[in-house]
Amino acid sequence: MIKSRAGFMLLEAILTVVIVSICLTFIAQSILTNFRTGVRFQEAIRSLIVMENQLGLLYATSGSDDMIDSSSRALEVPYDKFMIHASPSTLNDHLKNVGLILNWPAGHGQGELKVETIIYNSNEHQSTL
Amino acid sequence: MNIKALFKHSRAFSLVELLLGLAIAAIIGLCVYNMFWSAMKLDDKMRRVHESYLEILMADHGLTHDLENAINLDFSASYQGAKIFDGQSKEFSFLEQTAHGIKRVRYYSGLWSGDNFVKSMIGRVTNPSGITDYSKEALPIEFLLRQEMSLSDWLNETTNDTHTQVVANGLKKGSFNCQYAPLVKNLHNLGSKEIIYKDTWDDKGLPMSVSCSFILYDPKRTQEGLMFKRDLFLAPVATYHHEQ
Repeated sequence: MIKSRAGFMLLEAILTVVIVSICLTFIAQSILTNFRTGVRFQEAIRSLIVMENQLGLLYATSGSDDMIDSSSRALEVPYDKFMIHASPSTLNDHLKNVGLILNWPAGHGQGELKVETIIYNSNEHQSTL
Repeated sequence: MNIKALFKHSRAFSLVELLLGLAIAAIIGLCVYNMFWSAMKLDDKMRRVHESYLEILMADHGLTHDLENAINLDFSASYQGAKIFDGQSKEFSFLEQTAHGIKRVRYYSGLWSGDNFVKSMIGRVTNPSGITDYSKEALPIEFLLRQEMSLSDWLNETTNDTHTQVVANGLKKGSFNCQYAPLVKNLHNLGSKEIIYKDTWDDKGLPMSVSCSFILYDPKRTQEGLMFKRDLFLAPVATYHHEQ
């Protein structure tokens, strides 16, 4: 069959173009995924720092009302793209479970980091600091 | 037209077809090359940014650990000028209880130029001569440095047992700022808004919180960069604060 012709058939050319296109698409996708992973990694580290700030405040205030507010609020600069809200629940007379939920815009969706901790429940309990 | 007929009439490419094919192949090749080159540059940049982020995270952990172990000792009888916690807008130093005794720890930003460089906190040994070369240039970046000295060095103003570590690099020059908040009693009822920071700390004891901020230098956006801010609460030292 090969001997009988010198050039490529149209079908072969199209097939080659399709294969090359598929390969290039996979490569481009891989590069894009790598980039997105990098951005998510950076956002994750930034969100960790933000969360540690909030946890520090939560412990320092022993869970003051503004720290365990369940309505979502934006943080101050430079973390103004982060939103935070709390989900407190009473465990017993002395202890309270507080979940801190951090949200931020990540690409087309939203990133979320949730941390749960236990603090003293008593209103009479003063800050340990 | 059947297959046999198609093969019968098939012929080799003409010169124009060949040139056209080469031109198309060259354009596709150029695009692919550009794509890979951009991807490699992007990957390289991401790696560097990752390193900076990791260093910031490690610096944050180190700073937190240091401040949580800050202690208060009264030297006023023997050394009247000795400040237990000396907080300035661009640096701060304090006493820390370590496994090797009490040390004076100082955090500041700049370019290292000393003689007794050890290594960075994340375990990567850095070439001192390389860093010294950098210090001679007007770079837009600087390091976050941690100096640790023995108690006797601090009190006697000597440097026999003093060394400096690079904690993080890639900070925009002059962007490292520190603020200090005094103890506020009854924060539980007053709320976090009552934590008021000031630029310096000259009080007798320890602050309740230290707020550090800096901008991560971005070569593409030299004016903006990426700002980080960390509020670090010192470990509760109730008895001391009550004494204050």
